[in-house]
Amino acid sequence: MIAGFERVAKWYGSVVGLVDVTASIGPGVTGLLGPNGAGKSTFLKLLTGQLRPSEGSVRLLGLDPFLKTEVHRRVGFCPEQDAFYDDMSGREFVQHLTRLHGYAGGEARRRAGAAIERVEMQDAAGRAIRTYSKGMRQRIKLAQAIAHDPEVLVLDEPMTGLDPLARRKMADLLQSMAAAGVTVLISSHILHEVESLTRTVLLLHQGRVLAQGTIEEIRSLLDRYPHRIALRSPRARDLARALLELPGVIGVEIGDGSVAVEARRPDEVYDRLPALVLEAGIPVDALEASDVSLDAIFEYLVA
Amino acid sequence: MNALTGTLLVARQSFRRAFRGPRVLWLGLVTLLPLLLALLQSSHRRGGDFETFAVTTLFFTLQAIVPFLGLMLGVSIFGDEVEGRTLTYLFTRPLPRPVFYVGRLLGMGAAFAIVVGVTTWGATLIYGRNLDLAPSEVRGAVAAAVGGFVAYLAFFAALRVLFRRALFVGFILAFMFEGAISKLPQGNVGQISIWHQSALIFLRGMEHRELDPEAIESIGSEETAGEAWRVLVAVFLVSTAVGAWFIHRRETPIPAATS
Repeated sequence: MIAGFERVAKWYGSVVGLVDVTASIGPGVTGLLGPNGAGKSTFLKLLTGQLRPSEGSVRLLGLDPFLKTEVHRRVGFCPEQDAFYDDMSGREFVQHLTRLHGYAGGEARRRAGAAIERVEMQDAAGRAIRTYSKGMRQRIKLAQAIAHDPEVLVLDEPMTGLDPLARRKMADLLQSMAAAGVTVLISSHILHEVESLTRTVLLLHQGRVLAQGTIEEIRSLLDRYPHRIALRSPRARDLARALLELPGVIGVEIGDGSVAVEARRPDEVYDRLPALVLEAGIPVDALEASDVSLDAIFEYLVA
Repeated sequence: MNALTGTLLVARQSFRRAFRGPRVLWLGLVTLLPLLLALLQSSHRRGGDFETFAVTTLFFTLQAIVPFLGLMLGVSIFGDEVEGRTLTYLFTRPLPRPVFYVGRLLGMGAAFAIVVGVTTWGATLIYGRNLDLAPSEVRGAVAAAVGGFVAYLAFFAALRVLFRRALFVGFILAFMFEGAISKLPQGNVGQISIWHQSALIFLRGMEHRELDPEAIESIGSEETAGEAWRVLVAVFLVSTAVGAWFIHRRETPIPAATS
């Protein structure tokens, strides 16, 4: 076990951050999932020793991360908040923070350069951070977290603000680090973001651990509950009739140029839908999986 | 890296960064004020009248500029990291938390103290052209400004660790509380103020001159500059220790979603 929470609670005055959380993080990549306000940031701040639990105990690499700050030598943290020393360039920022890991000036410079290269920021590294786009800021935050070659990398919503290509690149980088033996814990409120990185997830909701396991296990749990898919078509009635023939579809609702489908196995609907509409010659203008958001998943699980 | 090496490293980084950003601009403007006043007055005034005027201007530096700078810069020593939400980077480095507090206080404090010292020295020298000031008098004025400033800086930096509204509390302490107790007669509670100690160092340096009696009202005849230095050093050490202790137990600001 790399990290563990034992009956951890965290309150901010009367506001609850986490309640009775027991969880363990093993090697590899783990996704920390939950809607906004679920307690993900609190979880990660407790894990990285920035907060002290109100109750229970947190262990990271066998140590209490709040009291034993030396554990940070082996841990990299990429915060969610968009906070920087704006008077610095990206290179100065990474170098400045790498120096605080105890590296001499030359070594810190070399490590900062290597990390900046890994996140593909070498061309803009000399520019002031205040001139960076959101995606560039995310990447420079990641660079400061990996410059000291941590054994454990903790990332709080690192994909926010990245375009699809940059997301792909970051996912590749994180996967290559995981393949090299780094334990990665990544938080997100977007399921597919995490799905592209790992099968192991920890679900948080309203400060509690809702489920921990593989995505398959959680999906099978979810398959007990119907999913809603919304489609728009000028031939809504014909589309509804055709959809009812698909396995797993348990009901349809016809509106003005729209059809709402309730399905127990939505993946099958997505797989068969293109062939179905092509064969029947029914035009489909839009498709929206209206309740595959994490919020909806949590609602199902809580129910 | 041990705590001492870490503190020195943070101090060095902070010293370099002290002169970057918008803070430096207004710091420069405020600290230049006595210098500008000195230039203006010395070009228009001569004789004994000028002496009182010059000395009260320097006194004004100690009474208003030094506490003002100490307050504004003191609360920003660590407040900048809290309000800028960059504390998260520092608290995830393998160093004890007080290292960042003490290192920043030493580094930024040294940088700002140099600025205060240089401008006070400049203003004193300009007056000195007409007053025939002895080197010990110039040194006394500079030492009083720097000593007072550093004590205020450490005091208000610690205050910011303890209170979110440190600027407000500090303003009341520096300009109302200290001002009020300094008006009380000799041998009174005025001695507990930083202002009293820096004024004492300044006035002992210019002892043989005819000074504004109102300004020296609260200074006892037996009080020495050495005693004043001991008090200022104690204020600095105790404030730094209190700030460091509370930083040791400090968490990063609470996440926005829960606040």
